[in-house]
Amino acid sequence: MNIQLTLAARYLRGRKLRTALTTLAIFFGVLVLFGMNTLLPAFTRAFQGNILAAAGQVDATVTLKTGDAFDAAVADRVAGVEGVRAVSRLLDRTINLPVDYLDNDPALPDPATALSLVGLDVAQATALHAYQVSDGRFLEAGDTDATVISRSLAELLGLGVGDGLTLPTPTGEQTLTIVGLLPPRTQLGDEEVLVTLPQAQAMLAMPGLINAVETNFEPVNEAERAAVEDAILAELGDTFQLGALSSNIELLANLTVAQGIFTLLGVLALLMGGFIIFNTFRTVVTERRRDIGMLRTLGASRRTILGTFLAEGLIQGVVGTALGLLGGYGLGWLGVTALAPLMSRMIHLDIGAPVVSPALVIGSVIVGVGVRLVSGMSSSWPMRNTLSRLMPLAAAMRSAGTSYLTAIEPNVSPWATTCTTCTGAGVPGVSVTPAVASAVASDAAESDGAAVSIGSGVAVAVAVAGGASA
Amino acid sequence: MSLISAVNLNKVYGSGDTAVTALKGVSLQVEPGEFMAIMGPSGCGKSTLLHLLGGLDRPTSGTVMIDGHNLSDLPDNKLTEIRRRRIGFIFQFFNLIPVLNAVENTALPITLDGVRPGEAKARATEWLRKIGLGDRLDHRPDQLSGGQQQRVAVARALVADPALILADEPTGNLDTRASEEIAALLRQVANEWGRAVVIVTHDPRIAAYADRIIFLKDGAIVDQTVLEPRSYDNGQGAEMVAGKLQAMGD
Repeated sequence: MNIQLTLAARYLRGRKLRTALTTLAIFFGVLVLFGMNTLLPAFTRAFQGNILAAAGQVDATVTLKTGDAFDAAVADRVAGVEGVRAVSRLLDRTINLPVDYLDNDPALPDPATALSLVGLDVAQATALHAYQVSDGRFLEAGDTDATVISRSLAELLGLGVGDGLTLPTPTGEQTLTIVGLLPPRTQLGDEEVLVTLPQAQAMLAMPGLINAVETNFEPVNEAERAAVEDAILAELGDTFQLGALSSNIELLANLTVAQGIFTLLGVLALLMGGFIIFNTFRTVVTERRRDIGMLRTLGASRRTILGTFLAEGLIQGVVGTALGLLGGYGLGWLGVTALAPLMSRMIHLDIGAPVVSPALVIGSVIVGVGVRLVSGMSSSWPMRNTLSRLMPLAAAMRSAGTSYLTAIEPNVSPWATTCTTCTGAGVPGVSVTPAVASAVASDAAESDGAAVSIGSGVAVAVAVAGGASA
Repeated sequence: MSLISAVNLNKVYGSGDTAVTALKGVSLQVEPGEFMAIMGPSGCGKSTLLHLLGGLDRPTSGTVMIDGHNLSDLPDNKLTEIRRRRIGFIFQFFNLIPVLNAVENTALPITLDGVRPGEAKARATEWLRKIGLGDRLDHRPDQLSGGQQQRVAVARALVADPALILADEPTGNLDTRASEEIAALLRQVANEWGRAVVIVTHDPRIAAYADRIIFLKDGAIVDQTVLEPRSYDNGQGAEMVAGKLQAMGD
């Protein structure tokens, strides 16, 4: 092992608590970053997988990356792409229900807190999907104030065909007549209330807007289908995305936003850790000036000194990141295990295992190790004169007579100051010229920003001959 | 040719009204194998002179030649190399690296010079045995007495086979017995191992081990004394040195 690594390892071992705390700063940052990014994609993947299984007729769904609504004419542009067999325009919005809105009974838990209002182009939708109406009829073009809901929702609400379903909308309360019932819902997400597209646009005050275009492709082989997907994206631009989702687009968008937020939190945690490390290493560099000066005296190059600090950072960064990755996976696994029964019961979602991608691992390692290195090195940057250009004299002198001085004369700085002046009465046998003391003191002031007082003031030397131990 | 040749050294700290002159026109030579002591009252420039001789600081004017190299002309990396290979340093507070054991501390200069770890360890162990610390090889500084720590520092100064050993108050932090042991060890370094030794000391008993003593006052050499061999044995050398210091003080 070379001298830098040996010194780095020994210094880390010599200060176990500090080493552990600094490593923990990296550990927790990586833990959050990695853990949440394994957990949330597991939800997203399960979500997409379940939807795919439930909506097999749809080849792809075009949405804006932001999840926002867009002009219905986009569907025509999609339909114009070569290889696209059919499209269906959708306007899908979640309607949050006030407390006790459906049952009007505070004593009972609400049967549903939100419903998904889905406006669809009847002709296009029926070309893509086979709606198995078990009671009544499906929607027809030109229907007004008519809806089709699932039997499970109807039972939940105690309603049947011909009854009215009143919903709160941005344009006020709207009563829809149930014209048909679909089989009980088995998919995840909110129960759907199907209406015609114009009806949905009117209820949501979003005329001419949709937020998804479902498509079916003509080709059947994978390569050609991929080419069609590329062609659609080329036609629409990079603000759009293709997914296999036919509904609950907002839920997916929320999951994506949540993942972004947790990534941000992870990075913030690492940045906080970085500041802790920055502060710690400011102290370390000051504390180790004696050793640095001695190494320089013995012939260590600037690169060797810098290498020691880098090696120290690297060791802590790698260990902290490795533990953080393990802990993060554990966090993801715990999250999945704890939430799986709940998700399965509430929204019919089978989450599966935490998702680990090579990009996530590499990104976490870069961020974890990088934060440690950058904060460690930047903390010593203001002291670069001491670290790399330090004339060994300063260290030799300082080490020979480092004293923490408390000035007791009023005109002298009240700060405990470090300087190397040792009077004959202070430390026997130590002789330092005033000139040297002044030179060293100015060096200390330059590199530490510490107030240095030497002079006429009576100073009390507080016993630190030999300096701080590292 | 002298090992060290210092000519007309001047060192001024600060500038303008706050300028303090630490050395004024100091010239001296040190021969290979010579043991020289520098003495004088506090603040007379002893340590400053030692640091200039060791390339730890640069003179305001004048030249220091070591082995034919003018230290004033050398860039920092070359100066670092000279310190690593040609000069051994010993300080009052030992200045061992606290996280390394005796062997590792001793091996530092040659480890820094790129010697393979196995060979560096062997050479360090050999020197530690020579100076009587063969049973303390794995001890860290905090597990050694002051005298033992200073012995490790001496071994460290010798391990790179330097031509010159510079010691700044090497016994200033030791009790009488340990001080005498270190002084005798430095005498041995000059006599048996042929290194030039230059020490700064306040202690006449330690200075009496030297071949020659230079007295500094107010940054200038005011006297030089060549001692009889083994004048430290009967205490006469120490008495004579103490007398000279007393006279300088007066």
